[in-house]
Amino acid sequence: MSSDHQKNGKSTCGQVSRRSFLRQGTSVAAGLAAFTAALKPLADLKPEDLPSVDEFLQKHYKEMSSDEMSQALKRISDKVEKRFEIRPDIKDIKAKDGVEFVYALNLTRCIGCRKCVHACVAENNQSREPEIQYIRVLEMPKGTLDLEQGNHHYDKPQVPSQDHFYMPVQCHQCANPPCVKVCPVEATWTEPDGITVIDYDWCIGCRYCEAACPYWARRFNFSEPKLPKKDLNPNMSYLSNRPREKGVMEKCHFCLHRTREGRMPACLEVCPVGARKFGNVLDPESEVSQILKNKRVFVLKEDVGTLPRFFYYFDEQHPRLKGDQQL
Amino acid sequence: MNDHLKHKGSKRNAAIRRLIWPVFLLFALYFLLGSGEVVVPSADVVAISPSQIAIAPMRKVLGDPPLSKINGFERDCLECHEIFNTRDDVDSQSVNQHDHIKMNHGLNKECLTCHDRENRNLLSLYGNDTVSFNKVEMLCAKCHGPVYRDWQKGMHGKTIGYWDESSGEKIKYTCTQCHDPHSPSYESMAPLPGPNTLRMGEQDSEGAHLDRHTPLRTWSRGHETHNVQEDH
Repeated sequence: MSSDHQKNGKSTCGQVSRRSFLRQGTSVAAGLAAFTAALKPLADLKPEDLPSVDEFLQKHYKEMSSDEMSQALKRISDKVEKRFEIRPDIKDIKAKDGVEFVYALNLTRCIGCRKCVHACVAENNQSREPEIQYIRVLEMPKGTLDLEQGNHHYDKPQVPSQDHFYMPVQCHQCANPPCVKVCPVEATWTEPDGITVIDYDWCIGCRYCEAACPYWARRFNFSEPKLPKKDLNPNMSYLSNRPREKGVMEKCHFCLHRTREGRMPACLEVCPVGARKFGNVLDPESEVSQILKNKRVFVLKEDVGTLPRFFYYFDEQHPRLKGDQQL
Repeated sequence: MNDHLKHKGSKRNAAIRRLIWPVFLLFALYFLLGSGEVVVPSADVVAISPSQIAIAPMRKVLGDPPLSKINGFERDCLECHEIFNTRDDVDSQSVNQHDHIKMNHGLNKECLTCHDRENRNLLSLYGNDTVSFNKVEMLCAKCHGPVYRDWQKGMHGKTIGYWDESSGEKIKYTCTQCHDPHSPSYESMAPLPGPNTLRMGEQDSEGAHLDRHTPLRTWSRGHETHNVQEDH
């Protein structure tokens, strides 16, 4: 071998040195081994983990024809039946004309019992492990609205505490929603009745919306959602409480499968003190319209310009009871 | 000059090439020996019984006439009160048949402020006006005007069922379905479990994560030892 060849570290055509053969051969073998090892998790995939051709070709919610939607609903029903051994009653309920939903919450009444949190979980088929809750109840010292002082891990034997008030926070269904703006695939959007929804089959799990939401209302399925068979709520709809997959976002949708059929949301019905109010704000006689008209109402983080459809309000205090705990 | 640069470059390439295979081998070992399964730590599930989130009025409301069970039979008030005389000066603490009633209604302590003297199946309004037990809100409105106004408009109280009355029935709770008329303020209750947000395993006790402002916390009753009053 000439010194010229050695200098370049290359051998002439047809001549492979023992050293370079070993070196390059081992590199290739190690590379292949690393590649195979990196693909190892694929070996754990079961056939049912892979989407079917129909599921793979399923269109965005807004682009589906009614035929395609009924096929999609049947696919989802089959899947749910296979997993939970119960045939769900799954529908695609459209928004009604002349309806815009608004939620109002009376901070004077809320006692922080967290019944709404758990009624929501039971209604909406959230993962029990890891735990996903849409509503967070903040315990706030009286006399401030500084959220930094809020504590959602309060653990008193009895509520309410004398020195605190309680502020439940959930999706505010903003009229100017930052979560919708940041979604790169338009998997989340605002419906005509004001509910911001998610197409769980279109979500890519980038979590931009979670970062954009100023109310920490969105939840991510970091691992496979676990839901015991007996706890499944079979009354479900495409855009609300059908079981979610790992890697998608979810959040409060004002119990869309109930409210679009005229019913009240689950968190409202369970509230033992009647602090929660829900209705159609376009109807001037509805409870929420009356509250917006007559009560002292505020929205959370008004300065960020999200225009929430979720309002907090107070009752007026009787002069004789001022400074007293009872209102 | 050019030759010199070329020589230097090839020397570096050779060094990199020599390093490639041990690096690949390390990666291969890492992937092969690693379990490949990602375990997301999650806290234990706290079970909630359906009764804890049942939807029912806090109290049963009396009809017209008001019936209560005495010795297994449903009787209205007049069955006794037609026979017994009524004294003006009694409050509930001194009435032996109704000694389970504990009055805690502010200045309103006497039975006959609300119950009608002549017909005990009715409640008394102003003057000689009376109202039946199933329209109890008219009685409460005597003193609680602003709350009654709010309740009429749906700003106070609880409404369940259907918000859209063309689809179904709207059920509006009356005063006594939530409030005990003899002790109308709400009893405190035990809160249901809080959130388990600790997904990253237990934090060390010296870490800032134990501060109560952190979202990282598992829920367990008695966990919170922080006295908030001391903070402010």
